[in-house]
Amino acid sequence: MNPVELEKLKFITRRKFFQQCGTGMGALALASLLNEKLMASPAASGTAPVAGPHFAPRAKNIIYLFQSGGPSHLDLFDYKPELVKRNGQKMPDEILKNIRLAQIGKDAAVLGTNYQFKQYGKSGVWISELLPQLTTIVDEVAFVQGFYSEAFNHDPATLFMNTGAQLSGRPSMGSWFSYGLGSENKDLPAFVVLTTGVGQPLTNHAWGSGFLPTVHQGVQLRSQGEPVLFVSNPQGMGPERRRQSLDALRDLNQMRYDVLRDPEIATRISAYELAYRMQTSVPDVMDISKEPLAMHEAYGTTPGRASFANNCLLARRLVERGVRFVQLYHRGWDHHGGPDGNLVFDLKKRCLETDQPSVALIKDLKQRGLLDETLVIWGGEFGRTPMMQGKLQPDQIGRDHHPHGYTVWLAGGGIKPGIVYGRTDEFGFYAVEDKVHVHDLHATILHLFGLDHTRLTYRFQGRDFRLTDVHGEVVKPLLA
Amino acid sequence: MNWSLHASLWLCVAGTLIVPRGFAAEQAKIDFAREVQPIFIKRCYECHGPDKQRGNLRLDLKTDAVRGGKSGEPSWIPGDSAKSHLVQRVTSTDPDEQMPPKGDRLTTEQIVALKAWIDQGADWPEEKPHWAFSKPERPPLPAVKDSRWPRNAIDHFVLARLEREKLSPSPEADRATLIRRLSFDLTGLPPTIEEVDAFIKDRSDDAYEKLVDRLLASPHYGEHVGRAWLDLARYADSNGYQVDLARSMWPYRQWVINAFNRNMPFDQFTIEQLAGDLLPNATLDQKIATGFNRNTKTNDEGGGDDEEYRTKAVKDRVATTGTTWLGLTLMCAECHTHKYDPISMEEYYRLYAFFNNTTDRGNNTEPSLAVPAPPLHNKVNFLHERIAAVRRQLEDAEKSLPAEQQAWERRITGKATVWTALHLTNAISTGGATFTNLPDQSLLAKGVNPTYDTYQIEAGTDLGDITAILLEVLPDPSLPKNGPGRWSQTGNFILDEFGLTVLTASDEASPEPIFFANARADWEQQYYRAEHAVDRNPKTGWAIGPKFGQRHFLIAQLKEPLSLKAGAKLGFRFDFYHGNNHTIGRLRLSVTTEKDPEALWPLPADMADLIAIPATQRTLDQKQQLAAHYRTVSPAIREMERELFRLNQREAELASQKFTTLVMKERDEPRITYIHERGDFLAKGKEVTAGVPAILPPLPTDQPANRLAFARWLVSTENPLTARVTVNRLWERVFGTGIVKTSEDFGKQGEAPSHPELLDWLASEFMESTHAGFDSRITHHASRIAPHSWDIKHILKLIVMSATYRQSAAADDERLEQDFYNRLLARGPRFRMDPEMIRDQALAVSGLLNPEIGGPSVYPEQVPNLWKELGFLRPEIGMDEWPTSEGPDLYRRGLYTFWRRVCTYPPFATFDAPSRDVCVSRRPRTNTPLQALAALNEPSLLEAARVFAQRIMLEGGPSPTGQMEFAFRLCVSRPPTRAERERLIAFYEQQLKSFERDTRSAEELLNHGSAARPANLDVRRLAAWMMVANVLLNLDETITKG
Repeated sequence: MNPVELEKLKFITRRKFFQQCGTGMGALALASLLNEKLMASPAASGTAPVAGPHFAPRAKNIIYLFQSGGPSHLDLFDYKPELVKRNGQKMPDEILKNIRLAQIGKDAAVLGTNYQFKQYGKSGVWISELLPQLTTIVDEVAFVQGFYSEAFNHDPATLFMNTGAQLSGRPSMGSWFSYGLGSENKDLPAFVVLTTGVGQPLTNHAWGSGFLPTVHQGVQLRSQGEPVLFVSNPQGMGPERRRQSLDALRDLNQMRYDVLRDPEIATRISAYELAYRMQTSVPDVMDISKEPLAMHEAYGTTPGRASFANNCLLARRLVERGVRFVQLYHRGWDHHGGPDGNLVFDLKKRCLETDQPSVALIKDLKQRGLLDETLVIWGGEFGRTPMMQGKLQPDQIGRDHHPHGYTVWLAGGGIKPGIVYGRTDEFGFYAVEDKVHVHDLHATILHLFGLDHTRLTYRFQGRDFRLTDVHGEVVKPLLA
Repeated sequence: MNWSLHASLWLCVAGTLIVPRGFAAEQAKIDFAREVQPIFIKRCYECHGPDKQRGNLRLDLKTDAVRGGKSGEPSWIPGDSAKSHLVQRVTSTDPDEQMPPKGDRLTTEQIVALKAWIDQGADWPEEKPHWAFSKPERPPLPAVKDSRWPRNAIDHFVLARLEREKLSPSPEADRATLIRRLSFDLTGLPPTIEEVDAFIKDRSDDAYEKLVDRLLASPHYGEHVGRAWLDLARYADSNGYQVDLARSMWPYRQWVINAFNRNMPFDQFTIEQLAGDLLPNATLDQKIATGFNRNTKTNDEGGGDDEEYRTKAVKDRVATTGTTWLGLTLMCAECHTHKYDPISMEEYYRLYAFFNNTTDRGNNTEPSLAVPAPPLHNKVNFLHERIAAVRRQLEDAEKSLPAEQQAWERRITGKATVWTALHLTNAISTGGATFTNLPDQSLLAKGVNPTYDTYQIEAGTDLGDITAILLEVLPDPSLPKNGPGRWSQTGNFILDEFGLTVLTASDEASPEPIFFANARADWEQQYYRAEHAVDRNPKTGWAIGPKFGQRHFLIAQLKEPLSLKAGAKLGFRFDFYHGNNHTIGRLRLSVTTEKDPEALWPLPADMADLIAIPATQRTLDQKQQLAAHYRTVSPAIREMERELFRLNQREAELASQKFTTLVMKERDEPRITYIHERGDFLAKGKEVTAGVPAILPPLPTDQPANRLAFARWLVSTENPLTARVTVNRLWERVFGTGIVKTSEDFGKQGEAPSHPELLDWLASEFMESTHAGFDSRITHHASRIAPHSWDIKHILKLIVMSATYRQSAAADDERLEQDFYNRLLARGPRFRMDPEMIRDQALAVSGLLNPEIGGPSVYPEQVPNLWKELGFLRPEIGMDEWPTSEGPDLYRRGLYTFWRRVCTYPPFATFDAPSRDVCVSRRPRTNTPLQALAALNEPSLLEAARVFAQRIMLEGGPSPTGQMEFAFRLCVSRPPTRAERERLIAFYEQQLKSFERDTRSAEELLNHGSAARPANLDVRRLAAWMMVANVLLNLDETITKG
C-alpha cells in the first residue's frame, strides 16, 4: 500500500470512529484502535508495511552475522592449492592489471594458506580446520564462493554491503525491510542491531535509515547500560509511578484532542503507550539468564558479558518474538599482519569467538522449526588478497583487502541447502563462475521476503531510490 | 515470469480488443504526459532516450519517436494500436522481439494505456515549458467574496482558493496561542508569562505588529532561522567519513547567525557563501562565509584515494547548490542525462567545473583560516567561580586534617608494610610484546608495541586470606616519554579491564574468576576512573593523563578474601582494548591480607620511619613532611586537588586555545574538468568548461565564468528559481509544508504548487520590495549586484502578518475530510517541533537556558560511552569520550550541540534531525515510541523537569492551584481549563502522597543534573512537582507549535 492510500485508509477509519463515538470517547480506546495492525501509521509505530510484500514470501525473518573487517576467504572456505604451490612467488601480471590495492603493492608475494582443509557434506565443500563446528552443518548451508563487491576500504565497503551504496546516506537493508514489511511485534522495533568486538570503527550509517523516515532505522540494543537509549525510567520513578504519569499525560492529551481534533494527538497517545510496553518487552528479551544451561553450553554464552555468542542467542530470542531483521556486527577481522591483526593468532581468535555460536544458532533455529522462515547470512564487507601483507612470521603475517572474489554463506529462509555456488579463479582472486554481486545478493534476499527489488522504491530528491540502485538480479539457483 | 500470470495478462489485453467501439469514446482521454510518457521514461529511455538510441529509435523527442527506428516504419499508427509497432513489441511473446528486453513485462494497465492512447489518435501535445523554468511575474490579486477577511496580499490568494473549494477560513486564534506561535516561528523559544500578559493587555491597533517587530529584532531570531539553514549547509563538527574526526567549523555557524540577525540581503548572503573569497578585498567574514561549501565530508581512512574523495565533495557542492537555490535534483545527471528535467550530463559537469577549481583535498581538511577567539568570559568566569569554591572547600577540609591524621596514624600503627610484592612469572602478551623481570619485582614490557593487547601474568603466593591487590605502574627510561604507558605521544595507557583468576595446578579445572569489590587510585584522568578497570565493561578504563612519567598505583579490593590451595597460582589479566598502543609499560603487583581498607594506602619507607617516631618527638620538618604525605592519603583532599588541577588546566587551555575554520580557496592554475563517464571519476570523458544549463538564463558575459559569476547568476532577478525556492522554504518553516511540498525539487517530478500565483507573488515581492532592515554600514565594501531587496525579514513579516497565519489550528470533520493535510489553509499551522526547539523550550521553561549566542560547540549531558564504539574523535589527545561540558555550557541552545555525523546527538536523531552528511531541505516529521522514551527519560530533560519544579515552588505563589497555573502557562502560554487543572492537581496530590511514604525515591528522583538545588525546598513536594513538570514537558501541546 502506498503512503497516500494508507493515510486515506487511516483517515476514513478514524472518521467512521468519530461518527460512531462522537467527540468524548476515551483516548485509550482510540489509541488501541489505532494500534491495530491495519491502522498503525508507519509514523506511529513502524509496525505496518508501507510497500510490500509483492508476492508470497519464503522467509519471515533475517539474521545477518556481519563479520566486520574482511575475513580471509582463502584461509576459511576457498581452498586454493595453486597458492600453496606458488607460495612466495610473484602474482601473474595479467591478474593484477587494472587493480587498485588498498595497502600492499603489486609486487607482493603469493601466500598459500597454512591451514588444513578437508571436504564435507554432500556438496563436498572445503572447510578449513579453523571452523570445526561449521563442518557439522554444511548440509544446511549454501556457500556463495563467487561473491564480489567493488569497494576496497572498510567504510565504503561496509556501506556498500549494507546500503547498496559506498557513500553514506542511503537506507540500510534492514531499514528497507522495515519500510517494506513492517514488524511482526508491536512491542519491539522491526530492525535491531547488536555489535561486539574491537577493531575498525563501525558507524551507525550502516544501519541508518538514510532518507527513509527514522522509524525504520536499526535500533541498536546495547549489551551494557540501557539496552535501548532512554528505555529505563529514571531513578526514583518505578513502573507504577511512570504508569501514573502516563495516565495523567494521556488524559490531558485527550482533552486537547477533543478541542483541536488533530489526528497527530491520537497518534502521539498511541506512541506513548507503545513506549510504555517497550519498557517491559526490551529488558525482557535482553535477559538471557533464564535460558537453560544446555543452551548456554551450546552457544558458549555467559549472561552479562558482551560477546558474539550472547548476541547469537539474543538474535534467536528476537526473531522468536517477531523482530524482522536482526543484524550482528562482530569486529576484528582486518588481518593485515602485525600484532593486532594477523592470520595466526587473531584469525584463530575470531574463529573461536564465532564458529561455535554461529553454528549453535543454526541448529537452535532448526530445532525450533524457525530455520525455514529465518534467513541467516554470514560474511564480511570483502575478503582478503591471495598476496601476503606483512612478514613471514606468526604475528606479522597478513593479507590486504580484497573485494573481487570472496565467500559468504547463507542458510535457511528458502535458500537451497547444502550447495556450493560459484567459484573464484585458481588464485582465489576473481570471481569467475556464477558470480554474485552485492546488488544480486540484495535482490535475492528481498526476493525471499516477497519483495521485488525493482519495485521497493522510495522517492527522495526527485528520484525513486532502491536498495539495488539500478542493478541486481535475483540469483535463482540459490533458491530452494 | 510465472506462466499463469502471463496468460491472464493476455486475457486482459485481449479483452480490450473486443470491447464495443463505443468504449473508446466512453473511456476518459488518455493524458500523454501523465499516463504514457512516464512509461517511456521508466521502461524505454535507458536504450531509446537522450543518452542512447538503440536501433536508431529515440522516444524522448516527438518527431524522432513518431518516425520510428531503423526498420523505417513509424512507431505507431494513430487510431490503430493493433498495427502499431510499439504495441506489437511490448505485447510480443517472442523473446527476441519483446520489449523491454530486460526486467518485468509492462503491466496490463500500462499496455491498456498505450493502446488506448494510440487508438484515441496518439495525441502528443507540444510540451508546455515547465512552470518553474519561466520567470515569475507578479500576478494581480485575485478577487474574493469576503473582502473583510484578507489582511494582506497573501490572504487574497489563499481565500480565493478556499472560496473555490467552498471552504471558509477558521477564526483568528486567541492571543496566547498567537504569541506562542509567533515566538516559536521567529525565535524558536517560548514567550515568558510576562510577555504573554503584556500582549493580551495591549489593546492598541498595532499590538500584533509591534510583537512581530520585537521578535524579528531579537538576537535569537538569527539562531532559529539560521539553524534551518544549517541543515541545507550540512553543517557539522566532524569530517564525516569513517573515523569521523573533529573539525573546527563553528565560525561559519556564527556567520550564518549574524547574517540573519543583520538581515543581510539574500543575494549578498548567497554570494558571500559561494564565492566570498573571490570578492575584491574579501574580508575575514566573507572568507568565513565560504565555509558553506567546506561543510563537505573528508576522509580520515588510510588508503583512500584523495582524488576520489575530492571529486565526491565537488559533486556534493553541485547537489547542494541545486537543492538549496535552484530546487533542482542536479545530482540525477551525474551518471546520465536527467530523466525528467532538461539537464544533460554535460551540463552537470559544466556546473561541476565551477566548483572544481579549489585547493581543498579529499583526505585532509585544509585550507583553513585563523579566526579571533570568541567571547570566552562566561567560561572563564565559571572556572574562576569553581576554583574559588573548591579552594574554600579545601580550606574547610584542611581544618580537620590534623585530627584525621592522628586517627589515621593510630589506625595504621604496626601496619607500615601491609603489601607483599609478588614474583611475576609466565607473562605473555597476546599482541606479541616481551617482558623482562627487574630486580624490584617489576615487569617491563619490550619489543613489539601492539595497538591492542592483553597481558596474562602469573604469580604464586603463600599468603592466605588475600584482601586486595596493589597494581603499581612505574616510569622507565626505556618507555616513551618515560612511561609508565607505551603510547608514543605521552606515555599514557588505558587499562580497560583488570581481571584476576585462580589457576589450579591441574589443567582440568577451568580458571576460577575472582571478583573485585572496588578500585581506587592515587591519580585518575578525567573520564578514566580507577573503578572503570574493574567494572567488567571493556569500553571503560583507568588512565593517568596528564601526569605522565611518574609512578601511580591502583588498589583493587576483593569481594571475598582469597586463599590459594596448594599448587594454585594467581592469574592476572590486563585488557587494553583502546587502541593506539595504550598499554602499560612497567608494572608491579603486590597482595595484602590487611582487612582495614584505610590501611591499604601504600606508605613509603621514609614515612613509615616518621610514623614510628612518637608525635611529640617529631621535628617541625618531620611534622610537615608527614602532614604533606597525609594530604595524598585523604580521599576528600585528593578529590579536591584533582578537581583544582583539572580546573586550572582547563583555564590554561582556554587562554592558549587557537581558533580556526575551513574555507574555500581558488587554485592559481585552473583545473581541467572532464565528464565522468557513468559518474566514475577515473573514466575521463569529454573536456568541458564552466557554464549553466541552457534551460536557465545565460551566465553574464562581462566577467570570468567562475564561482563568483555563478553566485551572481544564481541571485540575478532573471533566474526563475532562486526566489521561488527561497520564499517557499520560508513558508514551509512556518506552515509545515511548502506551497511546493517538495521544497527540494521544483522540477517535473516535484509536486506542483498548491497556490502557484501566491508563490509567484511572494517571489516577485522578495526580489523587488524596498529594503529597509539591513545595516549597510557593516558591509559597504561588499559589491551589491542587484538594486533589489532580497529581504528575508520582510517576507517572514508578510507571512506572519497575514490572516491566513493567524487562524486557529482547530480542525473539524469538514476540514479534515476535505483537506486532511491542510494544504488549502482553512486552518492555522500545527505540527511537532524540531528537537532543538523541544530542548530549548525545556531549558527556557525551567529557567536553565544560557542565552549566550555563538562560539564553539558544546557538549550537553549525554549517555556515556556512545563514542567509544566509534573510535577516537581527537586521536592526538586520546579523546574517545563525549567531553561533557560544565556549568553554563550545559544549558546552551540546541544548535550549539556538537554535531558528530556518525553519531548525531541521540535525542536529536530520535526526533528526525538529519546526520548532516548531505544537504537536507526538509526534515521528515515522525511520531514514534522512541521519541516518547527520549522525551520522558533523556537526562537533560529530566534535569530541566527538576529545575522547573524548583521554579514552580519558588515563583508560582503559595497555593497549588496558582502554582499549577503558573507551570501550565510557562509551557503552553494559555491557562489550563478547569478540567485540565483538576486532573493535574489530582496527579500532583497522588504523587505527593506517595512520596510522603517514600522519601528515598523522592531524593533519587531529584538527583538528576548538576544544577543547584535550593536546600529549603521540601523534598517530597519538589519530587511531586518534578513528576508534574515531566508530564507538562511531554504534553502534545508543549512539543507542538500550534
